[in-house]
Amino acid sequence: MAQNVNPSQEQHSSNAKRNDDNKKYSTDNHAVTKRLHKELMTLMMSQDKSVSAFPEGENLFRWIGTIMGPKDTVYENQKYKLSMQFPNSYPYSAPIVKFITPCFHPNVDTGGNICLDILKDKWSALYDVRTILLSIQALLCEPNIASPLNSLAAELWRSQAQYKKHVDDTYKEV
Amino acid sequence: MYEIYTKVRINQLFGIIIEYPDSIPALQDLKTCLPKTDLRSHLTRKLQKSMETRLLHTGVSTPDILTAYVATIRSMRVLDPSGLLLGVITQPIHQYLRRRDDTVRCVVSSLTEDGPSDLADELIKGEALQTDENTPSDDEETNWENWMPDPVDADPNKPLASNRRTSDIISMLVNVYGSRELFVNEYRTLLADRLLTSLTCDTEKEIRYLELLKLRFGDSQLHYCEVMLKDIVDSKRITQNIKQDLSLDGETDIPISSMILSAQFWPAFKEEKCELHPNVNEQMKKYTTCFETLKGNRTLCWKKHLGLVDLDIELPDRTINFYSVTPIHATIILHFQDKCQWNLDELSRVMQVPPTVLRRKIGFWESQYLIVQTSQDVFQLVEKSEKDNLDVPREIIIEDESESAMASTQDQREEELQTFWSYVTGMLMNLDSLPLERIHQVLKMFAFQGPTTECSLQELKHFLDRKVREHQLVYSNGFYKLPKL
Repeated sequence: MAQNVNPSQEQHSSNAKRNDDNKKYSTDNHAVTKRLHKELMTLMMSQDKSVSAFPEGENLFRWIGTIMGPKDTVYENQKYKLSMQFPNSYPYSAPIVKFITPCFHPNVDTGGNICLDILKDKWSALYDVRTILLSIQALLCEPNIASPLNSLAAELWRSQAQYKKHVDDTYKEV
Repeated sequence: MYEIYTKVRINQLFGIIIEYPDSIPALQDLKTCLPKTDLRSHLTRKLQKSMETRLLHTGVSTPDILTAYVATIRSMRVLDPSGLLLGVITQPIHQYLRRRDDTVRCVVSSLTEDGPSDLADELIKGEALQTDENTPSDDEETNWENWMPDPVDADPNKPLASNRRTSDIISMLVNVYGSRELFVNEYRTLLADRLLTSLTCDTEKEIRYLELLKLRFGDSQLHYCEVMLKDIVDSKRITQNIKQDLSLDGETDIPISSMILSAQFWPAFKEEKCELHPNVNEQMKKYTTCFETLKGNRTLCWKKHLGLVDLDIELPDRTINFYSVTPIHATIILHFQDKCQWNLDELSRVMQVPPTVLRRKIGFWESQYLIVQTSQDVFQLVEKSEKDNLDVPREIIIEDESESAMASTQDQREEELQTFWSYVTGMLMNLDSLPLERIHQVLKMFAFQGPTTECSLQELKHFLDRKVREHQLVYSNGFYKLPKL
């Protein structure tokens, strides 16, 4: 299951891989590139400004996403940045999505890793960048308390005032 | 003797060129003389100078320059089949033409217009040349080209290949003015205009031209135009079909024909708002229903401000026919049919057209003595024509009717920039702040695709600076970023 994956280990391996990937990605995967191009275009043309994403550099396989904290929640008016890394097999396997902005949330650990079913075993090729970001945005206001990565956040969730204080303390704009 | 004669001829050369083809003998003479004298450079200098003083200034219209250009190419071919002179002499013309904005439009329209035109001839001839490529030297077209070996890239085995280089005026023109894409886009706009302004469009002829152009530019570039022509043919058929259906279910007092266009393939239209007369709207609704039943899950999206209306206006004392007025004009007069007197504001509300535009449009009917302005911003229908009224010349500004239905290049550009803008905001939202070069680079990588042409660094800077002035962007230390919410 999702929470059984060791987050730190995952992070290391992806860091190590990154450099070779940059080269490899640019040459092959025409279909994937095309799909990502198309997703970018839809995203740019969409009127919804609460979520957004853009390739980080020259590499189309690494994006930076931005989520505005949903209204009427403790996250309101906060802006969360995420990194998205697309595998070669995208969209048949899920991208690796992490918070860059520190986020105090039951399903987000201190490394920014997110526990969200659609990014793990419930992934489907029908999801795209926009739906991922919207799902994460939805996760912010409706955490899954039953399987927390951050147990303190899970405990505090019930007392929203205290929780809000933690959220504000953790939040640091990057 | 030769020398004196040549000098005289050279001084007259500009006139000789303009008179082409009547001046062929003179050119032949000159051709004989040139090798015997050493006046080639003199000729080039002289001719370039007279070109500059007589042709390449703002007082000469672009079509005239083009005609002269074609004549120059042709006469230079007689004079010097190697194409060397031609290259040198046409240089200033190229440079000058490049500076004029209407050149491409002129070339395209002269290529395709009805009347006899050099370029159109050239287009057809070009086809002949291409088809004859494999069976050389049988007709006169190729004969004169074969009369001398090409001294520059002397390759006697391929005379036709080098001939084509010097003979293909159109490709010369096109290459001079920039990209083929530019040319094809212009053609597309013109074609669209022509197709839409004449209801009885001769698609056969257009298809022929398109085929000719295709030989030159390749299928892929002109694919859009092909779809456009097909749209027109299809629309005629569908309209016929729908008309039959409509006449079955009863009386139609306003017959409608439509042009059904595939929006994807047509150039962008000028957008304008205009609410038509309720009667017409109702007819359109019926028409749409018919179309929907005919075409399954497709529907129509009307461009109400485009189109043509034929009107018969019956007045107590006369009937006037108007052909091909614009929908907005027709709507105005239809509204006056319901009510004799309208206030400008009132009418503008009903039609959802801004008063200033409306006033201009009413001007048309004023010029026809059908509507008069009785007091400030109040207009009245003239039921009876008063004779003396007709004689008084009135100063009414009649708007330019030859407006193009296509969005102007500037409007289109604006739209493209708008697309870039959404990319720029997306970029800056996620990547915070970026310098101009980086934004341009990223746009180049991700946004410049499809039919949109590129955007130069300079233009982008201009655009972004405008956004800064509009407070949609913040610029500091060489970096652009989005303003804080």
